[in-house]
Amino acid sequence: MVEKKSSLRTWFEALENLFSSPDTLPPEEAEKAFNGSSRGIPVLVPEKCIGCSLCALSCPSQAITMVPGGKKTIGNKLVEVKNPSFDYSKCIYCGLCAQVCKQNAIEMRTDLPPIIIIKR
Amino acid sequence: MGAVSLPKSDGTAVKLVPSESIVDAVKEIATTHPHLVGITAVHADSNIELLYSFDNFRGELRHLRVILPDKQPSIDSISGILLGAYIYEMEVRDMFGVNFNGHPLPNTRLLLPDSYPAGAPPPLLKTVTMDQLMKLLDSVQELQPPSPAIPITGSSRYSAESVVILPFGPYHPALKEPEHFALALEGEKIVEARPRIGYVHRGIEKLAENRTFLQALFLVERVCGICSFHHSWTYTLAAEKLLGITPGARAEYLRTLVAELERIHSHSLWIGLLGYWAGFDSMFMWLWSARERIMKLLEMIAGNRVNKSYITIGGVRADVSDEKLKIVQREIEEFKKEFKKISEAVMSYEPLWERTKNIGSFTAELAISAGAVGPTLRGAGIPYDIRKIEPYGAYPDLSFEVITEKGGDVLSISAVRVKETFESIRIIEQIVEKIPSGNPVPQTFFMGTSKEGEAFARTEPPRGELYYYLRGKVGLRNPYRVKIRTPTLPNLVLAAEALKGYTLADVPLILTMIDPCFSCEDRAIVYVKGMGPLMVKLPRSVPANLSLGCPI
Amino acid sequence: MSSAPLLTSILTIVAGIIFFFLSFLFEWVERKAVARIQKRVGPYFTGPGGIFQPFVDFLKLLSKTEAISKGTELLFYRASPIIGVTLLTYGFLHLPFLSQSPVLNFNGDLLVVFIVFAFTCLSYLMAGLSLRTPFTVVGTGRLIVQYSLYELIFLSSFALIFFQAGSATISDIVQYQMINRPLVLYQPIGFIVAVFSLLAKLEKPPFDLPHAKQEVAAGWMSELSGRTLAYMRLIGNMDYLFSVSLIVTLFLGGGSGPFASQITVLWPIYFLIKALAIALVLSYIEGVAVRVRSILLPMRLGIPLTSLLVVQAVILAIWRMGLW
Repeated sequence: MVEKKSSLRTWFEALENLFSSPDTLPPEEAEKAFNGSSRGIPVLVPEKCIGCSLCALSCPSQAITMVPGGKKTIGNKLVEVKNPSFDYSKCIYCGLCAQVCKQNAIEMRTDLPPIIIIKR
Repeated sequence: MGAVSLPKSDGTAVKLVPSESIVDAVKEIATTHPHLVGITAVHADSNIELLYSFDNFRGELRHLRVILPDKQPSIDSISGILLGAYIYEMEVRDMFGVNFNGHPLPNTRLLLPDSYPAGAPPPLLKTVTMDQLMKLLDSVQELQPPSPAIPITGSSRYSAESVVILPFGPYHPALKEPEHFALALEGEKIVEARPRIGYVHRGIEKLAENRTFLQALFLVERVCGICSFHHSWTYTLAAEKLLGITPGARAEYLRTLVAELERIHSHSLWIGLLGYWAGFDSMFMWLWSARERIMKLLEMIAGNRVNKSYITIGGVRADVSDEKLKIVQREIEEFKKEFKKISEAVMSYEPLWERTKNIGSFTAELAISAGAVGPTLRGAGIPYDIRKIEPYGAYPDLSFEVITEKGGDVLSISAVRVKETFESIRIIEQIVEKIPSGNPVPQTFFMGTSKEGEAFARTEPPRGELYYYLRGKVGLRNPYRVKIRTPTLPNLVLAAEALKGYTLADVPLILTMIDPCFSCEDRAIVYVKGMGPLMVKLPRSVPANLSLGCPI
Repeated sequence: MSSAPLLTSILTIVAGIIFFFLSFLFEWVERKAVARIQKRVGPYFTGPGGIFQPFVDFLKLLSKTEAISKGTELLFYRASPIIGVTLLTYGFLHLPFLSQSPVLNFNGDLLVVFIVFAFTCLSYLMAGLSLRTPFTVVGTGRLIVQYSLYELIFLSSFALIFFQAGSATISDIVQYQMINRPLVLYQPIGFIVAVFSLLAKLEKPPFDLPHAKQEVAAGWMSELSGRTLAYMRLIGNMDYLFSVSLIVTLFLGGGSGPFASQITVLWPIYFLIKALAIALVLSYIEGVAVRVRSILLPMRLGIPLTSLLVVQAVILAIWRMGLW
C-alpha cells in the first residue's frame, strides 16, 4: 500500500460518490432520542423496592439519594423504607443501579421523552 | 523517615535502591532495559515511594523503588540518561512536590496551572483533602494565564522582526483538544515550538481515591473517549491482580472483542483525521462514514458508543447473544470491503504522499530515548506491542501479527495503522468463531474491601502502551492510589523533537502523527532542546537557554 | 449597444440584481457537489434541495452583531466590502450574459478584467490587514504570494486569446467565436490553464492556503464578523460567478448555441448551463484536492501552468504563421 502511487482510485471513488446517494441520516432519523440499543433512563418501581440502598452505594456519580418512602411489609413486619431518588442531572445513564438491584425495582426505560434540565 | 512496610508485589522484580545511587542504578538497568515505562509516586506512611519501571522490549519489567521522606523530598534527575524521563519527573514534582536535582526545567509546571500558588501543598499528598483543594482552586483568580510574548534573545540566529509568534490554541479550529503551542515562525519555517498543556487536567487520580473500586472504574473510563475501553480494562486487570479475582474465558473473549472494535474505530478515526489535517476533507468524510458501522456495533454490544461501561471487575456487564455475534460477523465483513476500497484509494493518492512522506522524520534511537510507544514506535521499525509481549485477555489464543514499517515518518506511521486495522479485523473474525460458552457476567458486582498490596497492568490501546498502577490497603473500599501513565505523554516528547525545521503547514500533521489524545495525557508537554544523553546517541541541538519568561 | 441612458440604467439594475442572486446559486452548486462527493447530504432544509441556503446564510450573517476590536483601521474595514462588491458588479456588466451585447461596453474592455481582479484582491487585503493579528498577517501574506502567482498566469491565458482574436473588446471576441468555433477548440491548453489558475484565484482547494482552517484559523478572514463577513463572503461568491462567466465568455463562446440568435431567451440559458458545467468541474476538483504545502506553491502552481502556457503560445504562433 505504501509502495505504489496511483491517484486514479481516489478520483474514481469521488466520481462514484457524486452520483450515488449519501450515507448520512436525514434529520428526521438522526434526531430521535433513543434507538434500539440505548440504555435508557432509570425509573423506580416503588412496589418492589425494599430500601437496601445498594443502588445508592454503587452509583458512580452519586446521583441517587435515599428519601423516606412510606411503610411496607417485609417479612411480616411493617417497616419504614427508604426509596431512591434520582438526580437526573448527575446521572450518567450507565445502568449500574438497575443491574445491582436484586429486586429488579429499577427499570431502564426508553419510551420516555428525553429529560430536559432547566437551571435557573 | 517513617516505618517502611513494603507492599507485597505480584512477583515482578522490584529492587529497593537508596536515593543517592539512583543515577548509577538507572544507568545499569538502562543498558539492558532501555524503555522507561513510567515513574510512579505513592504517598504512604509519611514516605514518598518512587517506582521507576523499565522494560527491555520483550515484556520483562524491572522496577527500582526509592523511599523518600515526605518533608522536602529530593532526588537526582535521571533525564540525562533517558530523554523521556524529564516529563515524568515534572509530573511527580507538580503532584507530590519532589525536587529533582539537575532537572533541565526546574521552574516549569506541567499539569498544574501557572497560577497555582507556589507555597501551596502538592495536590496528591494524602494530607491534602478534596475540600482543601477546592477552596484553594476557588481562590485562584486565573487558572491559566495567556501566553506571554516570547522575547527572542540576541543569542539566537534570527532577528526579532522576522519572527512571528503564532499562538496555536488553546482555542483553535485546528485542534480537537485544547492545548497551546507558541510557534515561532520565520516566514513559513518553524524555529521554535513551545507547547503547554494541562488545560483539561481534571484530577482523576485524586478523585479515584475518593471512590470505591467499582465507582472508580466509571471514572477512569472517562479519561479518554477514544480509548475508553482500554483504560477501564487496564484498571480492571490491575484491580483483579490486586484482589485475586479471575474472570472466566468467555468474559476474556468478549473483552477482547470490544477492545479490537475500539482499535478499529480509533484507527479509522485517525486516518480520517490525517486527511482532514492535510486539507483533504473528502477522505475524512469517507472514512468516518465507514466507521459508523463499527460505532453501531459497539452500541449494540455495550449500550453506548463512546464510554462503553462494558467491563466490570470479574467479567463484563452483559452477555452477547449468538444473533448479535452473527451481526458482528456480517458487519465486519462489510466494513472490511469498504475500508479496503477507501484505504487503498487514499493511501496511494499522490498529493497525500507529498504531504506525508519524509515529514516529521525521526530515528529509532530518538524514539527509544524519548520512551515512545505504540504505532509511533512501530513506524520506526521496533516491534513493541504489549498484546504479543505480555498477552492479556484472549490474545494468547489468537493469531495476529505485529506490524512495523521502516520509514519513521508520517506516511509509515499511517501505513502501520492501516495494516493494524486489517489485523484487528482478522482477530475479530477469529473471536467470533472461537468464543467459548459460559456466563461472562459475575454473580455480584465487586463492592467489597481491598487487600494489601500493589499491582501493575499494561495493555495496548490504539495509541500505544498504557500502564496502570494500583495500590490497596486492607479494609479500604477505595483504591489507595491509582496511577495512570498514558501513551501520549512520551510520544509528545518525540513529536516536539520532530517538529524542528518543518513548515507551518506540517505542524498539524506532525502533531497528529503520534495520535495525540490530550485529554488522555493532560499531564503536559514541554519542548526541550539540548538534552545531552549518556546512553543513546542523539543529535545535539542548540543549547536551550531560551526559557524566556514563557510558561515553559 | 443601446444609446438610451434610461434603458442602460434599467438594464444595469436588472443585471446587477441577477448577478447578486446568481452568485448564491453557484455557491449552492459547489456545496451540494462537494457534499455528494463526501457522501453527505449538503444543504437540505431551505428550499427544494436547500437551494436557498447560501442566501439564508447571507441574511443570517447580516443580522449578527459585528465584533470590531480596538485597533481596527476602520477606513479599510468599511471600504473593503464596498470596493469589492461595486467593482465586481461593474465587471459583470461587461459580460454578455443577458444577450449578445453586454449592458456596458467600450473598445478594449477586456482591460476591465484587470481592474476587477486587482481591486478584488485589494479589498481582501484591506479587510485582512484592517486588524493585524498573527493569523491575519500570515493569511494575508499567503494571499499576496498566491495572488502574484495566479494573476500573471490567468491574465496571460487571456493575452493569448487577445492574440488570436485580434481584439481586446469582449463583444468582438464573442463575435469572433460565433463566426469561427469557440476558442476552447483552438486553445485547449490555455483553457485548462485558465480553469486551474481559477482555483488559486478563488482560494479553493488545493489552493486554499490563505484561509487554511487547520493552520491559520481563518487566515485573512479571522477578524471579520457580522455584516462585513457577509459581504466578504458575497464578494467571494461574486468573484466565483464573475470568473466562471469570464471563462465562458472568452473560451466557450458566451451563450451561443443552436437557435440562440432566433430565440433570445436561449442565450442566457446556454450561458448559465455552460457556467454551471464549469462550476461542477471546479467542485469536483475541490472534492478530491489535498491542500498544497505552502512552500511548494510555486512548484505546484506557478511552474506547471507557466510551462503549459508557453507551449500554448508556441503552438498558437506556429499556427498563425502557418495560416498566413
